[in-house]
Amino acid sequence: MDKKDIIAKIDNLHIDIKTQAGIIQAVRGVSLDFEAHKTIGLIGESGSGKSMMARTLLGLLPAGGAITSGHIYYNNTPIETYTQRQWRNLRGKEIAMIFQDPMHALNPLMTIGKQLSEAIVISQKVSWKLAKIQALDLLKKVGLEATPERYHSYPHQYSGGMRQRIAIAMALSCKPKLLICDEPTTALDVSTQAQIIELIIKLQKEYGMAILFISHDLSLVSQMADEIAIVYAGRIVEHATTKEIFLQPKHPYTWALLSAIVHFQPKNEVLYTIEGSPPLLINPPKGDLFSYRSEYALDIDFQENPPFFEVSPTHRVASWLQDPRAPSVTMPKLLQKQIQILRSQQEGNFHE
Amino acid sequence: MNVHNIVARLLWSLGVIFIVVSTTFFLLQILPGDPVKLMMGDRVDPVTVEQVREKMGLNKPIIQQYIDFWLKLLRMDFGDSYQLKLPVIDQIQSASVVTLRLAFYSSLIAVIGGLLFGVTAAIFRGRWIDNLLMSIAVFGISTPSFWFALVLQLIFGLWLQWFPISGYQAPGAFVLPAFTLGLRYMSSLARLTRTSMLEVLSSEYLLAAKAKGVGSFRLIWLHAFGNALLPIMTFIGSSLADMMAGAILIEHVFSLPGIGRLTFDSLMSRDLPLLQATVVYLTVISVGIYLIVDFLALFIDPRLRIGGKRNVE
Repeated sequence: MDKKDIIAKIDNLHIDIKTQAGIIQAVRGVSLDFEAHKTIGLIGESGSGKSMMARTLLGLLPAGGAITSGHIYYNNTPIETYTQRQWRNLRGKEIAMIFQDPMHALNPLMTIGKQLSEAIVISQKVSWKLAKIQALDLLKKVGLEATPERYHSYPHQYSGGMRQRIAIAMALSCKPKLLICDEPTTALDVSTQAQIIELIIKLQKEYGMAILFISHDLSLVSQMADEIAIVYAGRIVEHATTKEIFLQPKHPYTWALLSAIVHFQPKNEVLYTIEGSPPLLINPPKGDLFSYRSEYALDIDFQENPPFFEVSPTHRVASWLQDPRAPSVTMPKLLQKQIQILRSQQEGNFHE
Repeated sequence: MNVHNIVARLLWSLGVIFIVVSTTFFLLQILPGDPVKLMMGDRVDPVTVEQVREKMGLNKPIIQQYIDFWLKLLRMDFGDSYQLKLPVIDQIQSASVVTLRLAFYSSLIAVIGGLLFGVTAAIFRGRWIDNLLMSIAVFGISTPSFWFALVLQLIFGLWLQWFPISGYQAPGAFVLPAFTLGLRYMSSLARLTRTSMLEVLSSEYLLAAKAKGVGSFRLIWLHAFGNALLPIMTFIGSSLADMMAGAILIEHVFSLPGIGRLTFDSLMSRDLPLLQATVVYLTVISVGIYLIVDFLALFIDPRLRIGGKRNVE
């Protein structure tokens, strides 16, 4: 490893999920490095396997799910073979997670104080008395009043945004090295979304953890991610810095996602949508699975999966269009124009 | 939920008791068969019948009878039974002692067994232990209890001679009946608990609890169990009420003089005071149990106790 402060790493990870309908190849060869102080945005449609990648980092794959090949490293130690007991020492101590739906991520029968203190007692092995003091501190840190009244209240007494703050406090109670955010703002309204994102950015500055931020909202992720990985059908198709993704996108799927961003689109026109839907990952066909929805598909796309082509040291694309033998193809005119505008307006404005 | 609501809930319970008891009173009036004739036989002369009728107040207008009935009831005076000529309250008391003992043992088996079976099956979902426990539950639900009772009597009473097969005074007399009655409710409860538990186990807050590193014992019993219990509490309540109402078949097979048989006998002999008293007794028990269930739910679930969303950003 070079000088980068790599916290965790997944390397050519494959995850299968056994269901009654067949074996779903949920994750099909994904590699990512998680670096302290850095945020990776993981973007993909529903069912693209991004939540599986998140859960596997906590050893919490659903029933029937298993890692079939590849590795997960934490502090350079492979952890994919960990037992439940070993995982428990990692969960809530080194790696923490924030969930999608704050309305359902807290136990409705327990006071928020007790749930917070529980996390502290487990991760730091302190007494409940001490944990309470820390819990009140954490409440303040996430922007809630640190009063005994708050401590003794129940989740249903809070709005979604406040519950997500409580969930964040809980995840931070162990000062994690790696924080996984699984669409933490999807269930919130837009103004609350912005507050939660700001809170996460602020806390990352303070704690210095690596963040894996999962979302399907490219423009949201651009506000906070250093790098963006675009996921399609269980694979990363393009992975680059946020700036590169927005200004020099290379993969047709990334083009499509960018074209679908609403404020990128001219007024009074039908909104751009990507035709079709992602394939079922039970016995998927050969080749690049996006080619079935792509107007730029080449013959070879249906034969063989493209390897990664390096565009720059920080930019890799899995698309045969990058092969020297491929015909030269350019992104849609409209997107080119939008990127031009973006370049002139926002140069240097990306989160870096 | 505040004091106001609790008082309202109590008043509502009293209202239910009033309506049930009143309805029974009027329904019993249209029951076919003349209680006086049933009591005295067919060959009594009409004059004597009239005299008895008058003595029992049965010749008064029905509204008058109804008012008298309530006035007596409020003094806890249920009158004497037609058949045995004994105070009804004594008969109810001796029968309820038998039924309550049976219900107590059965409900212990049903509740402890049902919850343990259900939780265990849910934890080991799809494994052999789950299949085994659920097979037992299906057996318990689908086996007719009188048949099961006979089989138990045969094996443990006649062949092995471990427990008495009838009566209620010998030591161990309640083992077989309690097991027969308990098995049925235990089986239903086990299945419900399993379903409810599976739902909670797949909830996001449980995943979140796992993600913070909560150990499995704490996860199951502290985080999951309470939540799984909420939807099955009503079922536990109604099972208890059922058991306290007495199980006619089981009381019959094991010769237990309980409430179930008392109700049945009083119905067959048109023993109105006895019948009315058993209905009052059963109503009060059921309403009481549901009241306890409601208050327990209130105790467990803060969402019922404290109004929500007072804190909005």
